[in-house]
Formats: sequence, C-alpha cells, structure tokens
Amino acid sequence: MTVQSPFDDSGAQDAAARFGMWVFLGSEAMLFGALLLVYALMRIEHGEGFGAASNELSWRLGALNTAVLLTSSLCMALAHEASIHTRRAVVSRWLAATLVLGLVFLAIKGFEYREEYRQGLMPLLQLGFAYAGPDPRGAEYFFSLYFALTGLHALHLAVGLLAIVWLLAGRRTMRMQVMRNIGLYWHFVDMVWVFLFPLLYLVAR
Amino acid sequence: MTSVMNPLLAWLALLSLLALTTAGAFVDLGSGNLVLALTVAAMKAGIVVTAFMKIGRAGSLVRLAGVATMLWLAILIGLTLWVSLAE
Repeated sequence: MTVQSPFDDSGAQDAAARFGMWVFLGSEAMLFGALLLVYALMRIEHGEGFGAASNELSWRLGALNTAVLLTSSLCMALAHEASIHTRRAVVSRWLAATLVLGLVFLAIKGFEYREEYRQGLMPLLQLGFAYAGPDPRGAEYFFSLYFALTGLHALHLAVGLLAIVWLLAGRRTMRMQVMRNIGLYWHFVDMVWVFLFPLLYLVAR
Repeated sequence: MTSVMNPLLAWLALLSLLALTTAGAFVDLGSGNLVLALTVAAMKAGIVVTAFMKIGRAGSLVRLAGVATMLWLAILIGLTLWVSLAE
C-alpha cells in the first residue's frame, strides 16, 4: 500500500482512514437523525394522518426492498472477506452482486414513486397533492417527510453505487483501505433504511 | 469458512427480524407497535454494526466515534421529545 503524506507508515494511515470514515458516518447519522426528529414531532401532532397516509404505501414493496438491501450488505461483506483471503475475481463478483441489488432497490423505489405520482401523493414541486383520507394536513406532512427521507436515502445509495463502479473499473489491485471504507458506507446506508422501513411503511397496519 | 459463515448467519438473523417487524405491525399492540418496531430496528442496526461493519475489531478510537454519535443523537432527539411531550 502506498503511504501518503502526512503519514510515516501504512498502519497510521490505515487507522486515520478508518477513523475518518466513522466520524463521517457519525455526521451522516446526525443528518438523518435530525430529519427523523422532525418526523417524530410531526407524528406526535398528526398521528391519525400519519397512520392513514402510511397505509397508502405498499408494505410488500417496502419489505421486499428491505430484504434486497440487507442481501446487498451481505454481498458487500462477502466482497470484503474475499479481499482479505482470496483473489480479485471473487471480490469483483460480490461487488457486482452488490451493485445489481442496489440497482434493483432503486428500480423498485422508482416504481413506487411513479405510483405515488399517479395517485397525486407528491406534495412537492407543485405536482399537486390530492388526498381524500382523514387529516389531509398530517398526510401532507407525512408524504413530504417520506420523499425527503427516501429521496436523501436513494441519493446516498446512488453515491454508493458510483463508488462500487469506480472500484470495479479500477485496473490496479484494489486497495483494502478504500474497499473497506466503501463497504462501511454501504452498510451505513443499509442501516438507515432499516429504520425508515417501519417508520414509513408500518405506522398503523 | 467461519469468515463466510458469520456474514451468512447475520444475514439470516436480519431477514428473520424483518419478518418479525412486518408481522408485528399487523398485530394491534397500541403504542407497543412503535416500541416493537424501533426495538427490532435497533437490533438490526446492532447486527449490521457488529457483523458487517466489525466495530468490535476496529479499535477504541472508532468505538469512541460510534458511542459519541449515539450520545449526540440521544441528546438531540431525547431532549427535544422530552420538551415536546411535556408541553
């Protein structure tokens, strides 16, 4: 591994890279945490609207996407294991599987967004919000937060996909450090979804 | 072999917890539904952090970053909800 300035040895560089990544993920957790706090305050105020609006979402697609993302994390973990123990071909295979599952997740999410657009449930960009259930104000808050949270999450996932493409396209031997940090990021994005799924899809089933 | 077994077992546990949280949502537990959902989500996050992100092997500096993150989040969310619910 090449040692870069200001580090004298690869061990110190490795520890710094790892620590830096965890601190970055901590700041990301604060970002999603602040949005979830807004969600909590709105839900306390508009419990009925949140429950009814959540039932407009497909829990089946939400659960399916959770399984897809958890499986992608498994593939990423196996890629990391392979990078420690075996050849690059195995690593590339698991990374490719992670990439495909990430794309499947985004495709399902895109399909859901299209359905919500058709039903007039997008209270953003003047797309029109036509909701007939109880507490329409609360439902509007719910869908605003739904799009903010899932949109921000999808953006993070897309960045992760680009990082995986970059890893796969690199001709040089993959650097363990970079590979591990991209893996950490991927698992974090997975973890965010683990909280979003019950809070958005399973409010009042 | 164990290096492959551990992620596989973690994945099976995660899928089981996904089934539990989904099934649990259809049983009326009152406010217990939210408690169940968040408890299961926290358990899943714990599995991801330990089995996939391997925080246990990452050294004390990283664990400190993890604990600090949880502490800041607890202050942010805990104090805000405390004030909000007290009103």
